[in-house]
Amino acid sequence: MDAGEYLMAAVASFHWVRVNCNLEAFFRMKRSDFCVVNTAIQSSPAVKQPKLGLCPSLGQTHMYTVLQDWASLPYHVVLRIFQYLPLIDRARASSICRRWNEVFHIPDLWRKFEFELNQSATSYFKSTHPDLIQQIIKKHAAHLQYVSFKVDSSTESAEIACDILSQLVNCSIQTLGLISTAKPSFMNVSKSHFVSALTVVFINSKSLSSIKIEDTPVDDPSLKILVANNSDTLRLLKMSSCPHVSSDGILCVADHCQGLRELALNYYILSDELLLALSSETHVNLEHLRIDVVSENPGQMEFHSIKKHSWDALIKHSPGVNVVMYFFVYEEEFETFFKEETPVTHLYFGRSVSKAILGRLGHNCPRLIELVVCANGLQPLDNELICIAEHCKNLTALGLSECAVSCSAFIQFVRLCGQRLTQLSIMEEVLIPDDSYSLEEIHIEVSKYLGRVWFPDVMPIW
Amino acid sequence: MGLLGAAAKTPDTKKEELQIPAQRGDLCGCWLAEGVGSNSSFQIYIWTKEALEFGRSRGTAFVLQLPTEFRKGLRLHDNPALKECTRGADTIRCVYILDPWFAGSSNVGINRWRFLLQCLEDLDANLRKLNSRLFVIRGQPADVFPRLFKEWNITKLSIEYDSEPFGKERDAAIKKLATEAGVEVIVRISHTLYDLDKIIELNGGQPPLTYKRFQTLISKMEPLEIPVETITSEVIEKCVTPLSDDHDEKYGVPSLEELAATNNPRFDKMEGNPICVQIPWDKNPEALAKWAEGRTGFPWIDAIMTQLRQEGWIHHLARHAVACFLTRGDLWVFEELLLDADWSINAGSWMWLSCSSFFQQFFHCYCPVGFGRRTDPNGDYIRRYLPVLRGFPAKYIYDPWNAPEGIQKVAKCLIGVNYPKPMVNHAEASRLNIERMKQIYQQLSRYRGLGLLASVPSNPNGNGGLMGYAPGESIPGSSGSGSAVGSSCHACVRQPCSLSLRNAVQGGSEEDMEASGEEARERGLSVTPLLRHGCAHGSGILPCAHTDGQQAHLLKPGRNCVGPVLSSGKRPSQEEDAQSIGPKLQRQSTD
Repeated sequence: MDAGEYLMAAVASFHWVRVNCNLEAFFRMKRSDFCVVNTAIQSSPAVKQPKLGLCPSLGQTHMYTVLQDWASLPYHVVLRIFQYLPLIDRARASSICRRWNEVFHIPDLWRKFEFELNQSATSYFKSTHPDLIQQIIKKHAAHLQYVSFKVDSSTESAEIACDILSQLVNCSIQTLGLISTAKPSFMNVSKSHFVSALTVVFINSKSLSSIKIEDTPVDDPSLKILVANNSDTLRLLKMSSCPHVSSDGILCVADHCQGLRELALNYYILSDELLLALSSETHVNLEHLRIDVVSENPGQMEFHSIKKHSWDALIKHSPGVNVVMYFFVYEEEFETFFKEETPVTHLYFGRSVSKAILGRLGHNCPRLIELVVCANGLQPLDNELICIAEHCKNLTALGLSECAVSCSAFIQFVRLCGQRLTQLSIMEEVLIPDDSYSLEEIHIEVSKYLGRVWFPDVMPIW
Repeated sequence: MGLLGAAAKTPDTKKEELQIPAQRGDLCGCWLAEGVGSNSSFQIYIWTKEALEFGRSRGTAFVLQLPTEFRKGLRLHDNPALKECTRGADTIRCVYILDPWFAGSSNVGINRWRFLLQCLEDLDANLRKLNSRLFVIRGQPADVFPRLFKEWNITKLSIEYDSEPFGKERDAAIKKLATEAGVEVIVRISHTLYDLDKIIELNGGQPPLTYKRFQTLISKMEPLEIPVETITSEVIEKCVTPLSDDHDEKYGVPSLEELAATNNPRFDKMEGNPICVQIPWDKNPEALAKWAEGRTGFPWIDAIMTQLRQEGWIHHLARHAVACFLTRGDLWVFEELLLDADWSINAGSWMWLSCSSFFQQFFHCYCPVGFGRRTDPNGDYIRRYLPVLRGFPAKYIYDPWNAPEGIQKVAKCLIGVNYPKPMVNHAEASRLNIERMKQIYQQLSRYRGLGLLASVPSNPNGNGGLMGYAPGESIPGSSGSGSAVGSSCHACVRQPCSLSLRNAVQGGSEEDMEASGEEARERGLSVTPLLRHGCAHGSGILPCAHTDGQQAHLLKPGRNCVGPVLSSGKRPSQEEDAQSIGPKLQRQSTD
């Protein structure tokens, strides 16, 4: 009945409301009744039947007519309904009659597929059935264009994903995503297994445009294979936290994939050469550069610096580029950053960041659009915020979590930014009442400057 | 709850009567007071709000493991509705309705059942002192109420007001039953200090979003009423309870075995419902156990869990810290355990802290090192509950693994030997988790920009996506029939497309629950009634980006749901590609 319910919903949305009751009757029928339907189908011309079976003018048609019409729904109509159905229901519906079964296999319905690979021990979710996986590999691999793998935290799931990848030989995949839904389980697959599976797709598809392979053991040689086969089509590459890729590997991509518009990577492979390569005349404008700055242990990582010249070249070549930086480093490791002008647009500090560094932002991040500070010390960030408000004229979003700022300074910040602040998320605890404003007043004042009702965020008393 | 569940499960009120499904029942407690006096009225006081298996019966995505809420109001002191009931009554009966089918089938941990039965025993004992008894009636409320109304000639029914959406629905059902039987209904507020509806009314129809606002509102209200007189033999002087010799047989409090004997197959109403969004939490019993037993290697977390285990109580900030650590903060595991005895607050806070309620900025995350350090710089709290770390200087007490070996030796505590190393790298975990959260939220909000803050669905208050709720008031995602979540999602997708939710967790069979109850006791978790491991199973406030069958995303609030699918020749934008493969994949058919 599931299929029936969905179909009814779909049909209703198509404004064929009149048919509903008949449809219901249709689905209520016993299996034996379907012989009528089948006969009807066989006697009707198979494909591209122009006659629309279900039109309101049918009015009081009796059951037989209705059945015939349902069975002979034009392909494109069934197809369209099928596109609203989850696979499981499409599969059920496909066993109803030959025509529906034929529609089930139409390539349109198999262009994208999301393989979900979970183990019952590590996930609450179901997996794509192995039989289905086999069927797709056999029958529909050639139709696949957008493929993603969602794997849970178990290595087994990641290995199954690799096994599937290595069978995708007759494909022309455009988008490939390897997504770890919980922990980065691809990192636990042996590098050789992973790389050989991934390169099967790189070599066979030849028209890859988007690749998302974050938290995987992809390495330089496999990127070279990617470049050799897909350099003309690659537009997006997300490969943050891929420890086996070096700055040379990514430089090779930037040199050869001149159409690359979006790139996500870790800071340690970001180099002046890379920025310059992305800014070469023949390269298209970069639209999005995401940089994760991550350290494993406190104080053990010393970050290299990027020359202002290189940043300038990037901005000159791609004036509209968004530079997104996520920091997950310890306070003492920030020294390298924001000493000079940095064209960052979105900044996220996942760990505690010092007042001194935040003080640099106002002076050296003129393109800043969004700033999120998860934690800071107990010293109020008054001057830092005001400096940011004064100098970062594009700032539209601010989030503060475990920080401190006086109410007066905060009001001034909001006043300076005004209505361009479309996102303002401040924990109530962040705001320190002072002589000028109490917490009660701040909501009114801020709402006034923002031109909308605003409240600080609050953790409920638990 | 049967009543309650019934009301929720049968939205098609076209049926001639209020539908109380025969297959599901509820625990339902009530006072029956018989007035043989002038008006010969018979009064009922219903005080429980049985929210067991709450979510499931409401047909929402949430199966909440509910704490011991069903003891709510099971008391003789400060009970205005009961007091009201005794007035002018000549006879009084205290009734608790227990549906054996429900008892056998429900997803309730054994500890909670034990606790309920103990509450009932206690109540019965107290009633004996008043020459009365508790009447535990086995049966389904739908059958029981009309029968009792008639049999005992009831004319008045007084109820403790229930502010929770679930309770409201149930009470409405009960009222309807009563009205049909010609029984007058009286409602008294006694679970909450204030009339919550009044607070909302004062606030212009919206729940106050901040605690400050809440305080402002209540300062404008009338002062609190003083507690009403305890029901003593003097108070019910005139009321007697008619008792028969076979009272224990007919109306005695059942034993745990009796409940267990009626073990029916579980009724999973959610089966077959399309899934929409869920968070793909990791199933990791090992990590969960480390967390629960205070062996995470983060002193701040471990000290809190130790206190919870030892004392059965932790400060609310501490609850935030440990809940956040378990879920989106670090471990990416979700188990709703009972950290608070109040259902609303417990459930709501879990949703809140795990960011399951779709409303909050998920970057507000508690650092298991920094948060404690800010709260208690000297680390006295840790020294108290984790004496093994007592020797560490304040500088390292929150992250002792960073202490040089010399300091560890002086402290007589080697990390990795005497105290565990941290079970996760917090920086790494938060990096991963923020990405997962962002992915999920972006799928919900359909936001494809680069901003982190904007990816959280906004609420109508324009509050940067944050929604507050007053304790006990309707919590985002906890009201009837999935409406809260449904509407919130609708709000965020701005299109009323088929967004339905279902019980996310398939796990948690009866055996599992009992086993884990035992397990919990073995681990010493049951030293406190407040941490019930058994309650954790099958918890499913799991809003997630999961699709049941393949490509169920076609039913998700993507544009595919409503927009033309085949006819649109628009290509996905760069931006969308940049954000995630997911959205791109969802749009395959538009190509």
